[in-house]
Amino acid sequence: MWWIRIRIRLAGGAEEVYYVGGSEALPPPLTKDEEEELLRKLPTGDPAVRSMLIERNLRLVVYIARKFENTSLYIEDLVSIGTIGLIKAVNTFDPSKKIKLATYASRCIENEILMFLRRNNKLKSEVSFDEPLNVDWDGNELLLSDVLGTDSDTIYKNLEEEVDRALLYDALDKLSERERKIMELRFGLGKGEEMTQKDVADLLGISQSYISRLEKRIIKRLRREFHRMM
Amino acid sequence: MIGLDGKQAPQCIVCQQEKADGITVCGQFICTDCERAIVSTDVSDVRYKHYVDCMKRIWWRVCP
Repeated sequence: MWWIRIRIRLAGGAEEVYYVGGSEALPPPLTKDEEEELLRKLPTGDPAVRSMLIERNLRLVVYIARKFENTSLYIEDLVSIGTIGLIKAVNTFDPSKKIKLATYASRCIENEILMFLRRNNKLKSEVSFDEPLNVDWDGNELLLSDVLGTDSDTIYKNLEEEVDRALLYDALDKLSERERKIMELRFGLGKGEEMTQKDVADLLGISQSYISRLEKRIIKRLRREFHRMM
Repeated sequence: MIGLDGKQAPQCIVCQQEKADGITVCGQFICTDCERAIVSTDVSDVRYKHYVDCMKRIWWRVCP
């Protein structure tokens, strides 16, 4: 089967990454200087710049897609979905932010695949629990609900939580030190325990209503950062 | 369609139309309109599956 050949090829190692179904190696990654030059030109909107940034980061797509090989998707679907994630990453990347393209693109590629998997899981979950799987000699039906154990998306939920957590910490980095402190105290981020608005207000020597207003504003900002990264 | 440089405009792998502007990834052309559409399309959109299928063109190389 041709896709088995692909799997063998893709599993060959980091240095030799091949096109799906072929023996031609993927374009090499950009050097630091090349990437800097292209990122400098990216805001001009030149399609040639985007083309190069996408093409030379395709290995990243393969690398991330391979992490999802044990899911219900074939590798050719995974790399295609990952490519869409990469195109989205290059189109939404802001070079003025202090984040590397590879880091940002990795998140976008992974997120794209996770979103697709989650969507697929939702569609699958629309199958009725009363779906008969088998009927015995006495005419008793074995229903889907009889064999269901744990949630089918437990594994992906954990992966998504990991990505969401990573995105949250990236978004927190965009806040000022004071804003970050408020979030850490209020929601017990890191090792601490959650504190009430009143406790945080007392600790920082400001009023509870001011903390409430700040909190709303910070959450709004975090949500915006979140959407931008996704 | 003939471009300003006198060359035949490339055909987009998504909309199959000949367009002048767009990105080329591994020899496969995606016009600017389709690129924008891809960027703004969510996985739940009915068009998404079509885009996924189109992207396979980028990855496919005929075995020697």
